[in-house]
Amino acid sequence: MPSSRWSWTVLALLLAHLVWGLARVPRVTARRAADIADYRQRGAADYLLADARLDGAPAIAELAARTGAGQRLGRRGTDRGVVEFAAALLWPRLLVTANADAGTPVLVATRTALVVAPQ
Amino acid sequence: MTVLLARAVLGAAVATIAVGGGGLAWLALHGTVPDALLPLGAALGLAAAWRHRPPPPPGAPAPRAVTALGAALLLALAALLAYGALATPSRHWDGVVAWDLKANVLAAQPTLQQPFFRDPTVYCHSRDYPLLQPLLVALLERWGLPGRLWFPAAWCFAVAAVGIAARAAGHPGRIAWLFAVAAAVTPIWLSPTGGSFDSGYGDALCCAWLGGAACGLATGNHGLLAAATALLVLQKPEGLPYAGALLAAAWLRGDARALRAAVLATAAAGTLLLWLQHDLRTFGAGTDVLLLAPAAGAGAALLLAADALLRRRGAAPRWRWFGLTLLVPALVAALWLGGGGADGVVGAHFADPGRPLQRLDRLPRVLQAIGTWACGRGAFGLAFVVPLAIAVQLWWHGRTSRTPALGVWLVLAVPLWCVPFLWSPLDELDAHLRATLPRVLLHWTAAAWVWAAVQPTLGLEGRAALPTGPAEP
Repeated sequence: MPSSRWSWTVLALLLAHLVWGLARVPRVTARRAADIADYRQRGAADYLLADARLDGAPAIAELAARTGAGQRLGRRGTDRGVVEFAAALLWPRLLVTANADAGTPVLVATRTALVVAPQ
Repeated sequence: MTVLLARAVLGAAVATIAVGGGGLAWLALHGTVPDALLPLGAALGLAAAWRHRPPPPPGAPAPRAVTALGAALLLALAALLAYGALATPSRHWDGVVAWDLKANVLAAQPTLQQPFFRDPTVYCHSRDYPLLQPLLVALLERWGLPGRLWFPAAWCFAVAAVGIAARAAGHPGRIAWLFAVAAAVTPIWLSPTGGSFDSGYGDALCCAWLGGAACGLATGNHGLLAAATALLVLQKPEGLPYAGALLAAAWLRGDARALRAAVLATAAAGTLLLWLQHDLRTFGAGTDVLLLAPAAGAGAALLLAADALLRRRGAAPRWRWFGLTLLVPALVAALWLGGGGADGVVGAHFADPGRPLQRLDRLPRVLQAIGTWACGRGAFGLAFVVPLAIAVQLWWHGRTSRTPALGVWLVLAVPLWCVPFLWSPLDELDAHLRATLPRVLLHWTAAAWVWAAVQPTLGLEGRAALPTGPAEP
């Protein structure tokens, strides 16, 4: 048995944490399942950019459709923001600031939006 | 069961550092990591687990019903995290842009000798960030296995570390289950948001390695301590100062074996981390390992020799504090001279050594935010409140903390929590606190649970199995 008032307090805190944590499980399970369903339904670019309140999913889709794996795609604009997602979502294409493959379009990035421009 | 679990945890840590550390060394040497490294590392882990023979835990085992209930609950939660990790790639910012992309690049070709890493015109987010996690994911993927399985596995590792530590401390099985399940349901560990164990961020693995190191320190398993410390250093840039705090804690408590394990692991992993950081930053053009390795070796030798000297002379604790004030600047200078301060993530902080002094006025806001996040927000439940309550209980009753070195490590962590907000080049404090502080605190949750789990509390601790060490100052 607990040996002091403080011991009871520690035990109570531990049990409170346990109950609190367990009570959250159904909610986090449902939220996780909903997120996964949403991701699968909308696709990675649309889901991720909307979640981060960024624009550019159509530009990523267009570039993915018009170019092939391993191509070097030119990019202009900022290094931060939505272009971070573009680099990941367009892999195995590479976003480059020089020596882009001939005939590929260019990705122009502001912090919150992407557009495709002709080379 | 505890013995088996302890062997499994050690085996997992050894296998992971063998694969991860070995693979990173291969990358640093500009080679292509062989796929055979994964089964080789697994074999090493199995051998380590086989050789590890921990003593049976002293307390009464848990009743079968408690074991069955606890195991079922943990299995269900592990399944939930596995589902979250494997159903899709990362669903949150850092997981996508910083971790998944590099894992995909390395899965295609596990080498740095490719344009993504070597061509300065190619976009590469946080170019010099540690590659341990992406490499581990990539090597599993190359065997046709789900690489993101590392994330629920890391959660299992952290939970097991808490349970093992509680049992080794002499708690009865049911109390160990209570601590393990309490740790397992820590809200931020299971959260569906960025940073949790299945999010693909690096912070959860950092938490797991810290928990492993804390377990190794608490149970006297120095192999686990060394392996987990090395993984911690290689996981994220924060790992190096965290390991530095571990060295300081072991030094201050005069825990020679723990100090030796942690020093050797930190020196080796720190050399590898900074070597790779410099290599990535310079696109493979320069290597400073010839400067780094001797600097790290000299630092390690200095620390161990000073510790041996103080022990031989039976020096009072104040001499260890005095020694620390001399050693810390010496080791930081060695790090800076060794190239760590020259560039990269670590170097960005060293670039303006006077910045923390200029920003001291931020400290009250930072401390207030730490208190609010750690104890007053739902993200951590009572993960920091329970250890605090136990610490107050021990102090109130004049009891000695078990594993005092772990306690000192946790206390030294608090200044480290403040460092990013005083030393980082970022200027917007509130935004920085919101984005970074929860993750910094997350790193320490498993270690905090381990400390709580090994303390003599609740009047149910059974006979003490761990060395209690000298009274805390």
